[in-house]
Amino acid sequence: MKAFIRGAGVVGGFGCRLSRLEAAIRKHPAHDSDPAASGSSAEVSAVSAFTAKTDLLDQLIPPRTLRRVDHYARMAILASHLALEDAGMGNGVPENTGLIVATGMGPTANTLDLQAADVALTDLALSPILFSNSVQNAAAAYISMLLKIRGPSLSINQYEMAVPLAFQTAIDWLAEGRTETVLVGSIDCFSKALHEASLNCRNLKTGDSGQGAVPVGEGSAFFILTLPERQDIRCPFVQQVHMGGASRPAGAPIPNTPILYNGNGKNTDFMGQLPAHANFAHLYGTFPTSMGLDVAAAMLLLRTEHLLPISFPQFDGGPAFHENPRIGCLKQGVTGDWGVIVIGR
Amino acid sequence: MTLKDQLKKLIVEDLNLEDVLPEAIGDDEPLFGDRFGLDSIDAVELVFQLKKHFGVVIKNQSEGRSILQSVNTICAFIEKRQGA
Amino acid sequence: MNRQQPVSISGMGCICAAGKNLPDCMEALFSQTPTPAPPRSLPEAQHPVFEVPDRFLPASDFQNMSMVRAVRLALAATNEALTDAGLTPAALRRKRVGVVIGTNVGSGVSNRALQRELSGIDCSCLSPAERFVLVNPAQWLARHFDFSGPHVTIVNACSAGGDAIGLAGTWIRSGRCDVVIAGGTDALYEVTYYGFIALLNSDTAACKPFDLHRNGLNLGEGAAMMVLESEAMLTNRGKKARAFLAGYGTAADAYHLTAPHPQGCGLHIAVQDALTSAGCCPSDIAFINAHGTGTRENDRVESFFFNQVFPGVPFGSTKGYTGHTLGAAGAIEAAFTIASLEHQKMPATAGFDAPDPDLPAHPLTEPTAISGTTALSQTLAFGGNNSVLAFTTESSA
Repeated sequence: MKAFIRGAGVVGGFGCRLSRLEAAIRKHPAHDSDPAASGSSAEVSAVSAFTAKTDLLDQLIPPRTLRRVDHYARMAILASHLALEDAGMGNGVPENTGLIVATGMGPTANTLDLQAADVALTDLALSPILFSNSVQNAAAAYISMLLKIRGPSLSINQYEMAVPLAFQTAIDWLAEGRTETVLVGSIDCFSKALHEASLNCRNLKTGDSGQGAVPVGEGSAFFILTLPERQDIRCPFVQQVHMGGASRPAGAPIPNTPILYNGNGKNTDFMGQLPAHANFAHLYGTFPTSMGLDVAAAMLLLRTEHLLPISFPQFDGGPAFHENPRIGCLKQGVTGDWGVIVIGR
Repeated sequence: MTLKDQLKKLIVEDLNLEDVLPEAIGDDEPLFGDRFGLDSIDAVELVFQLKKHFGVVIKNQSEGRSILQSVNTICAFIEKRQGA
Repeated sequence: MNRQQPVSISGMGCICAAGKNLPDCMEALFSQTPTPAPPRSLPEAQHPVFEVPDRFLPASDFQNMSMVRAVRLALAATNEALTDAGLTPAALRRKRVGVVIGTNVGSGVSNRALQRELSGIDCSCLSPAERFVLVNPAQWLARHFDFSGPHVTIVNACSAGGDAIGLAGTWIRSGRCDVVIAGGTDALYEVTYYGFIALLNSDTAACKPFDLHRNGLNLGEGAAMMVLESEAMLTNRGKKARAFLAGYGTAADAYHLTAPHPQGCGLHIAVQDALTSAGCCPSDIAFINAHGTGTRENDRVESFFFNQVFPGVPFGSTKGYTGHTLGAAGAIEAAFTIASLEHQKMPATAGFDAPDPDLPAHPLTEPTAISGTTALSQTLAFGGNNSVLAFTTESSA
């Protein structure tokens, strides 16, 4: 069953809004050997991390309202608001709108950083504000309160598979009539603990992909999904979500479409079979739920003329593709699981 | 710094009231009135910070409601507990 | 919300302070006066909790050092559920088996528990991916049993376990899975312990749900798992369902980060959706397992709600036997709800002695016979999520 994408909002190292992501893709359609040269608004640390700024949020919501909210939730709140703005839903969403928030690791700057193993028990007690923000569904709660979303709500913590699972659930909810509109999105934040893990555990210069350094990042992407309506011509849609794993039988369906993938490319099982593939990690880094930004990028490639050819310069799908354009977003997980979200228009 | 000044600074900093100057909080001004938009999480946050900074314990929410009414009432509570 | 096909539940498992398996838990619910105690790791702490005694966990598990406690509890409950369903991992090998687990700390919120529970591992050297593989309960169970279907960990705070069961129902009805292991798990964790104390939500004595003198919750730990199974698979192996997931409703208050909506607006919608999806009305409900944490706000909201929507329908809280098991609560209490339907008896609400004159509806004070085949189990979560499951022991076939 198709689910139509009415609007999308993004926050990442490239900036905020689809327009900034589009500008970043135009300027740097292909991976640069030095991510710092990509010229994005990313702050580059010793670990080439793409960090996001959320200053725009203060223009959309009175700062007093968000005084207790941490950076993790701010990114998700901002991306959600931008999704509504893009969908022309600035006056609000239907009340029974569902909400699904996918994270790879949750609010790690609160959990991993503040709750470190070497913090003495006597110093450990988190204040009520910090503790409330550390609860893994806090971002969903804030979005729900600010946007008055009162339908079903789900927060998923499943590392790299969180995004395809979230999209699959959104489609399930629409199909079973649980709701008619779903705000579904992804959020992961950078943190001191992740910075140190990256330094300890990865060689960023050589990477383990053979394709150069893959910088870590953070960001959020949210989408408004609905069932088809009569006037949906040329509206981008989620055609299908495929998921598989190491235990799955061989021959699981990989669509015959250009593929956006985000990761170190180590598991190249699928690469040889693909008509074309591209990677935007040089624009927003790679992190468990960066697939959410890939979905937004795929949407942009399908709806913005000339953007697709510059991202997949070797690909010519001919009239058939032009009539029925599709892009698959692929994420391969460390455990051998994989997910593909196919976007069409 | 007087105790009242310390309290006003704590309120502004710990509750992240960035647009409020500590000296602009009246000693008798209701903290949980309309001006600051504080709620129950702010109340328990103040309870936590008061214990952390001044060692005074507020045992439950109903006790908190009367003690946290204003800077003056918090001050009186702390002075009473610390003087005891 | 549409009427939905009931989904068969062929097996259940449960481990918590009340018992090491579901029959032991139910025996405790009908006979014992539970006594929480300060956490073993913090003996001078004042606020009591409901810890699972180590002797409840299979001895062999303690030799396996790569299991964090939340996974250990989940595995114990899963093994019991599979045995109860008459399913072996080998029998499931060629089936599409999904796993949906609700949890709070089991999602790996920090390295503290890891460091303590997995001695010999320097957690600061773990990559994020390695941490995930060690702690994520859905992923861990799927790999352990070599299940090939989708698996997901839900972190909806206090309603996560119930939401896991609700989502599992969708996976069966959609045909995506033949079997889904669904439930919740959570282990006691010092940051959560101190966090609830800081929120002034924890009682320094045993909790007293719905009582005049209620003063907060006691935390608990545990896990419960259910085996949801397609009709085709059950029929093929000649097995009958133990019970059915008849309906599921979930809705957000959109009101406050930690407090429930005073008029229970999300709860109204969630219950309505659960009833509609089950094809029931309030008079069909034999009893309700309430969230009943023992906090002043939660119990007030539920009491007024029950009085308005389910006047005269017996209800109670089982958190006086288990504590508030957070991500596991929705699943543990779902298991208790089904078992109570099977017993045709509801447990008393442990800790409830004196009715609060400000509350219009009061829970049962004694184990009470019930008649009826359909019951509800509801959870009201941190963050304002309300989830309601409808279970029936009556086959619609």
